[in-house]
Amino acid sequence: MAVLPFRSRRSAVATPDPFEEEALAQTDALYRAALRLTRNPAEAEDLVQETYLKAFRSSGRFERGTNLRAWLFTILMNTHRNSRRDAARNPIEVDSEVVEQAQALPGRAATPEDLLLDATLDVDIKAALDALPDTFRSAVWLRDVEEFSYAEIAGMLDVPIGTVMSRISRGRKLLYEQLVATRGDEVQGTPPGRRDRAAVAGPDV
Amino acid sequence: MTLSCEQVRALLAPWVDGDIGAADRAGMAAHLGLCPPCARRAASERAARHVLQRTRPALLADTAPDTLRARLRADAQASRRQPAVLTWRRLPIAVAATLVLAFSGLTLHVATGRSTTLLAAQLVADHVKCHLTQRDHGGVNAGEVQHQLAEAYGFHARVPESSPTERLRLVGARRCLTGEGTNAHILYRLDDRPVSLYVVPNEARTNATVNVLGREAVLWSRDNDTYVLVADKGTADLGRLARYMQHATE
Repeated sequence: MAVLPFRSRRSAVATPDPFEEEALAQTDALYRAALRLTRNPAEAEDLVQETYLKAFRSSGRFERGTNLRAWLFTILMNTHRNSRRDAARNPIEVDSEVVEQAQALPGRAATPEDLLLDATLDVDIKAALDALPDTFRSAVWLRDVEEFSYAEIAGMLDVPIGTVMSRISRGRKLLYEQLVATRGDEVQGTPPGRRDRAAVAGPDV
Repeated sequence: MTLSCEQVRALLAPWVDGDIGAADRAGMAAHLGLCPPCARRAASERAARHVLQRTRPALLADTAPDTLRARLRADAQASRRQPAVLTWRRLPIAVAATLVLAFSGLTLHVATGRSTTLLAAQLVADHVKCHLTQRDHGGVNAGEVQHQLAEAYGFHARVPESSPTERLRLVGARRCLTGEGTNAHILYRLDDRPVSLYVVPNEARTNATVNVLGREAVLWSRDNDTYVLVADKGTADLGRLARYMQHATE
């Protein structure tokens, strides 16, 4: 069997392609999103790689001057949705009302909420995010971390803008409850159900 | 109060984001002042948004591993070799077929030279990454792996068994992506050193041994599938191992 050396000079010193460079500049952002979506580093890498393979192959369909970052995220989200569908794992749509009821905490407003949350550790927040159902986690991540517009997120998730807003809203609510539960257990050592106090006046609006 | 609880809840996300018109904002303020449940919910969503904004730098601190970057570069380069893919689809089939026939000799030549090294380099990068993340449960059954590949990824590859004679242990299988497409990746340990067998479907190549990134890759093709055996350089006798694999995949 012959041993093949690297013999093409062109392959060694290829001219950088502007599209590729601009696309590859999003590697970290896509990897982070993939990590939150899959919650598994190896799967996240595969998801990012598949996203780029699709992007490179269909670069001709990308309209120059439009938002490359949003386009790449759209491919990532689609790929993730499809792979989950293929693998026939948990359906992506969850019954949000059931989730909310299951996780709802009794009304409470005695402590300033922001104060409690200010003490929350970064690791708690990651854990709380990871504990959210997929649907809400991706909406909250795209909005509050990657700071996309509602319209961009609607395109990525292939749902109407109203649904995006509702998912963000519910996702934030669940995240808050998750954090209060984590924090509350740690700080007070009591289960969340025991911690309700008399409702005081609502917060300033 | 002009807004209902339902209307208020629908506007909570843009309200928290400060991305709301003056009229809606006034309606929200009026409702929230009089409706403690909505006010509590609004406050908790705002608190979640605040805590996320405060944590954002930490959440943005995760970076992609260098091995992934290397693989993406290789993919970019590989896909640049096939810029004709989109154009092909637009050609009438007859014209395309004639062109394929006329250039098949040439294409075959191009596909076996530089791209063999490129394919090997991509697989070696994948080999390194996957063995780092693969958990070793102490040997798995080839039949199960074969089933898993077929069920999860639609691959129908013969999976060579663990072999005490070859000191080879099957530890798992995954899907692997390269610029050329999706391949089956079967992971082994030989005396606890990582060994990989890749099956690249629907692609025949000439036999070759490629040294790349301190690893050795042995390629052979059968029935229009290409098999690539990858191991760290100096891992036993790779030629002998390749013969075992060739025999086992027949």
